Amino acid sequence: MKKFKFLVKYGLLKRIARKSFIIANLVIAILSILIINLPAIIELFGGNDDQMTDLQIDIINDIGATTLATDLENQFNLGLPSPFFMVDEIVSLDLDTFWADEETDMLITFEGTLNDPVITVYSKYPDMNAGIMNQVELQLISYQLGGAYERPLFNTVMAPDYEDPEAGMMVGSISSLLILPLFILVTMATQFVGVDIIEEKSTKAIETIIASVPANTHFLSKIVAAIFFVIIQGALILFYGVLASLVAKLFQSAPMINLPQGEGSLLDYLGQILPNWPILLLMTILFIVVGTLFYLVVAALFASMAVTQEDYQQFQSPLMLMLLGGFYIGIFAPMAGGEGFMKIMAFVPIFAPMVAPVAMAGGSMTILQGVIALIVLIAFLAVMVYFASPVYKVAILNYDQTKFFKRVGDNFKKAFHRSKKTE
Amino acid sequence: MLEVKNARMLYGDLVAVDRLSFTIKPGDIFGLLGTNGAGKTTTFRMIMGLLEPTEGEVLYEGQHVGYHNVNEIGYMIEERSLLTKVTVKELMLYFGQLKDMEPKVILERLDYWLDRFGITEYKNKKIKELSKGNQQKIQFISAIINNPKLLVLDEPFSGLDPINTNLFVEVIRDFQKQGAMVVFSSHQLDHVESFCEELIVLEKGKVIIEGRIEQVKKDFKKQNIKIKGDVDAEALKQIPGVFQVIENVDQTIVKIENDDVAASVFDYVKTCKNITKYDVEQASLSEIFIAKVGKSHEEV
Repeated sequence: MKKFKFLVKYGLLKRIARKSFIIANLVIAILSILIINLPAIIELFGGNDDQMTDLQIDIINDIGATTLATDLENQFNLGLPSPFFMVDEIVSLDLDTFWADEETDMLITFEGTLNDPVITVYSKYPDMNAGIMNQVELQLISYQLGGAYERPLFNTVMAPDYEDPEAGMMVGSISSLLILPLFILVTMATQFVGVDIIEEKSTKAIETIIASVPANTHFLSKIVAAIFFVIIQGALILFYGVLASLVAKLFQSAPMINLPQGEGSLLDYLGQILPNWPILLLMTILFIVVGTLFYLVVAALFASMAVTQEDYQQFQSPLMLMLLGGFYIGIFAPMAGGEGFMKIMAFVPIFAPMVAPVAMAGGSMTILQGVIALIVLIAFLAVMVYFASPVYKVAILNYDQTKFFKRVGDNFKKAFHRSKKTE
Repeated sequence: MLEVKNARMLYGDLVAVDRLSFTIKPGDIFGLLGTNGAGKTTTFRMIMGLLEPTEGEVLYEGQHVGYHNVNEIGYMIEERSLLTKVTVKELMLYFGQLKDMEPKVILERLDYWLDRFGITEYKNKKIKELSKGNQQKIQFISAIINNPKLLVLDEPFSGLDPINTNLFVEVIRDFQKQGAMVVFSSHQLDHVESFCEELIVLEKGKVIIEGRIEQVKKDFKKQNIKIKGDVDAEALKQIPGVFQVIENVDQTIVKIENDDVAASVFDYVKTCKNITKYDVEQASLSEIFIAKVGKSHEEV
């Protein structure tokens, strides 16, 4: 146990007590702050050219309120430092022209009577619909004062090619938020384990090391050190995110990741879009931990079979393919509407760590199905450790340089031939 | 005491080591010789517990070699096995702590050995910055830093100049005096002959020579007679039992089948003029090795 602790400590310090780690983290911290505060920075250098300067609204007034256009324009611009809304009355409805026209942003038709209005909003900017409709309702109430108030009936019509950007952004944000850091961390950790093992093996220092500690202890120490590294690096990345948000708040800039107005905190927001977020978060953490362990076991196994640094490049290809496969499925399947495919892949252990959390967050997989996928992954990890441990013991001292598949096969044969003999 | 009992190691159908047995007592220096692929490294790995014999056993102080007694063993492998990107000090702290040593003790001993090998200035240098000879010294220090009771050295003198070789020999002798057991392999048979008392020669996993060196030489009947004077090589070759005559610039070496032939050669030499030297010597280890293994010394 003493040697195991020492090896874990040595492996961890070898990574984090280095100039390269400090420099890399400084760069990550600076980039995080820059990316999250990008809108403020762009504004600092002349602002966003695409920013909207006015909103043109055309109305068709069939309810007989004679000053409706002027009143609405005043109502919309109330409290604004300069007029933003421009309201004009038109006579006829030509939707094809409206959707193609770049000048007019919104078209509102008022039908029925003043006391019983039916209002239809044709909008190119759906984000603004709610605010506009509130203002319209207020204006109509002012006309109805003295009479019986009738709430207007609102219809909203989106452009024919309209896609709900919020839904797309939501899925994209969840995928990116979950997968990207996991992918980066797992890739870093597997590289850490692989490079460490191959460095010791290619220099033959491994013989001196394995002469002092059991191969299994060495194997586990590498994995545990890498897990600690992932936890530390993950916590640091989270810290940089919080730091970047604080900087954004300090400068009152609009960060890249915007919470909807009126939300108190990130947790409030999470509570609205993902009502079951605590269990989802727990499941995601479990998938990250078990998944990282799984990928690390695979990385250590392949590294033990490689002999040189060049050799290791070839041996890590299957692992990188697994990681990339999970990454692309998790990122692109929700966007491409492949929820069914993603759900199936979430049960495949080699992809599950990255796909399952996204599938659960996106709603294409229930929590119960997530639990089943996690159990499958844990079982697969246990089988991997059972097979990897004796193979590692053989492969780590084997300097055979035959072709990939032959070498893998030979190491497995030797390992289990030896295991049988030991039994 | 180290006991290798009837150890056999198979890799599939290949017999790497075939029923090898020997015993090393405290204070013994034991040589393990053989051509490349003879099974020396496999034997060392079995001694270190890195490989489990297919049959037989290896016992250290009556127990199987394992990680419970590995801290008493020092191991130096044939090729340089050092992490090249770390400094000498970092490497020793790493290897030493794997032997359960305290960092303070490691550093004290490191200072002593660096001083003894005359390389104190390299303590904070990276391994890759050192010459091959100095790397060899560092590797040797890593094997002895834990003051081992059993020292396993695979080709310890490889790549060393004669001065440094003597330095290594002195240190090994010091360990011998302290009662350590030393088992080593070397391609330089003169080193084996000069300081090892007992040996085994392996060929394709099988033992072809074993025993104490003087006995091995004695058992090997062939001898050499070195003669200085006016002798006729052709006449020498005619003597029954003489199988080779080598004419060097300063002397003639007559190789004879056994001790009895020496008298016949002497009878002939008595008839020659200007004889200033007549020495009958046992065959060298190198000759015995070549004769038994049947290959040239250079191939060893």
